[in-house]
Amino acid sequence: MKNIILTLVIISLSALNAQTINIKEKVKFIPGVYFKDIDQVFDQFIGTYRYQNGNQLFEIKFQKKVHVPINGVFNCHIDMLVGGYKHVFDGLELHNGLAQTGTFPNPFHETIDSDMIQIGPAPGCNECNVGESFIIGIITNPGGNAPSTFYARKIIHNGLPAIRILINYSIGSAPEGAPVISFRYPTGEFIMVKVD
Amino acid sequence: MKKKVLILTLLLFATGLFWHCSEEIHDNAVTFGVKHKKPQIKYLKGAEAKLVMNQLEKKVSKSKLRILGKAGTYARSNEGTIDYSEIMQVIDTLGNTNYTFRITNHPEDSDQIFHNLVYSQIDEEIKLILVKYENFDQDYQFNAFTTFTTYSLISDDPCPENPIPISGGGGGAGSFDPGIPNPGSGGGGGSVGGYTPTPDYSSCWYLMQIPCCHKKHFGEDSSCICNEGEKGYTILFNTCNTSLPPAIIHSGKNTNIDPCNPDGDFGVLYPPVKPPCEVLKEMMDPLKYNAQAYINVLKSMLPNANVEYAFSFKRILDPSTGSYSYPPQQLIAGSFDAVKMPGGVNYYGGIHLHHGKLYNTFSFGDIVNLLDNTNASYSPANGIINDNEAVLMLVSVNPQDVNNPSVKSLTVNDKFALSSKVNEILNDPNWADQSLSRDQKIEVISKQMYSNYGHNHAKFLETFKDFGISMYDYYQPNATSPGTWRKATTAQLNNQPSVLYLPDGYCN
Repeated sequence: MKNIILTLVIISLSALNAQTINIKEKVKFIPGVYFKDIDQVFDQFIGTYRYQNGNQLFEIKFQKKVHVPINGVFNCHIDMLVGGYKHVFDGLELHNGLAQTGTFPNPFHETIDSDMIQIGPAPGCNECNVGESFIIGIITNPGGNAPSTFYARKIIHNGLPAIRILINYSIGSAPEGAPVISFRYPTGEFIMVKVD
Repeated sequence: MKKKVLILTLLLFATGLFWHCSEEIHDNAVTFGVKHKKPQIKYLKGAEAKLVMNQLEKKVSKSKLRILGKAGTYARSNEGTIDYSEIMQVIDTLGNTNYTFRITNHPEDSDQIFHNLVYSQIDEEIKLILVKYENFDQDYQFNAFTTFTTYSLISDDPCPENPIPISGGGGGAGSFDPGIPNPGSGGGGGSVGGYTPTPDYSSCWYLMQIPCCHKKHFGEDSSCICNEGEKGYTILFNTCNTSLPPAIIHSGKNTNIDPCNPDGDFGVLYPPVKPPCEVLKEMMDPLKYNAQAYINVLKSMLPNANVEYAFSFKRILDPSTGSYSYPPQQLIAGSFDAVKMPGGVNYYGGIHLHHGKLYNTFSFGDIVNLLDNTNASYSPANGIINDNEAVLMLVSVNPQDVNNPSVKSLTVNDKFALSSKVNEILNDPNWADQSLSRDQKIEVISKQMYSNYGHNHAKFLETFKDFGISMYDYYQPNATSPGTWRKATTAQLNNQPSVLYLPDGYCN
């Protein structure tokens, strides 16, 4: 009897708290909703991935964050993937933020973050199998300038776990004469093999 | 006892569920915060317009002003033409009704000046006011606030018939001495020159512009006490007859945005916008922007592209001759450097490419780009006063014919709506963390919105139907044949939004 009462109390208290919705269904944040990675798609991306070709080295490290509060939206939380990257081109290290991955108080300020899971095939993963999940996120320079959208799919490459990532910079508008900001990350499509 | 506890627990459980459900409903209902009471705005057509036209005609005919009749329009000698094609009716929160007519071809009209005729009916009193707008909307960050610099009360009363200059706008509240017109008291920082009294009216009327909206109490020195951040209105003091209470009229402003209107308000009808077909035609003109050349380049790049590419549209005014030059533009690539389309008085948007791995239609970021280019290109000195001459074109995959890519263009119909809706979304924490940079928010919101409409041009149009934009398709049967722009409209076919190209939507 006590157990029944306790269970009902816990259920009713959680009902008072928030509603849980699969993150795949998110379009925008909603007060009182927890957008949860119910199918644990983000977990499949956790780790460090490397692309190396000639004079270019590009590494990404992903971590998962759960139940992240959304600033300005009452009682809304979300599961996320956050990350950092290292990019070396022509012997010059353009950025190395791998060690800072997961350390930002606001996960949306990490140089890589994803709070969106899509079902393929769809733009960004036209080659995805029917029903396959892929992630969409933002990659930026340190400090948040020059943001691009990335689309990442989990694959097997030469027998090794890997991701196929497409990084797309949308050309916007800026006042004439505004300084051009160099990317610290590469744009285009890359196969990155899991190394850690 | 156990039974009571169980019942109590079940009640708590049920309450929790009910609370939960009601919270969801509440969340859906309250999206934009407190609703303010606004004036009702309506554009009159047909019989309603005819009725107002007739009333206006009678009123004007009683005045000393001469009416020249024409089919559909009526011209007042030396005062331009009253445009009856669009009449704005504004019923304020007190039930007062005003009608605004656009005046075209007024002798004073220029790049920076236009006129409206306001037919005002407050209680039984009817007034005609000719409002002159000058230096409107010069703020790069558009704020929908327009000042007018003079107006005339059109009546048989000789006193208020003459134009009355306002001594500035946007400054602090001034003091008032009814007997001594004081040019400086209306506040500094105005757009045109100071108060210039003439014998016709200087002894009768005095105007003071106040930078607040609510009719607040007046201090002992007759100064206006304003709340910080409130918008302006104008007080008209009659010094011929000091027993008359001061008339309070609002500065010409967008009543959609500033509903604070205790004493009657009127809408602003801007000069007619340049038809989108004319704008697009100019873009394609080989002696002007020559967009066809850029379309051809981007079409050829599309099959192998995996980053975005773009060209800007640029024209430069030669002040000595008044003519324009259209220098060819360099290809912009979305790789290596975070380059952007330049915005400024010489730029009118551009054309870009979405490669086949991503979306075939425009993004939210593209709409922001169009707004930014529209704002940046605003330049009365360059002859751009209508704010709709910038476009954003897109070359993308055409699923119906992979050898003939899709070419589309966004055009601006209503910069006010575009600016308002874009900022509403950018400032909404439900769309993006507000601590992010503007560029980050644009990127975040774009990807979210794309998940809603994907490739679908019709769903794009439905999503952004209130944004004051139109989408045109460049119909070119094959790569070498001449193309035609045609307006995209939407309709529900088999319960799905679909794009339609109606016969009257083709640009000839």
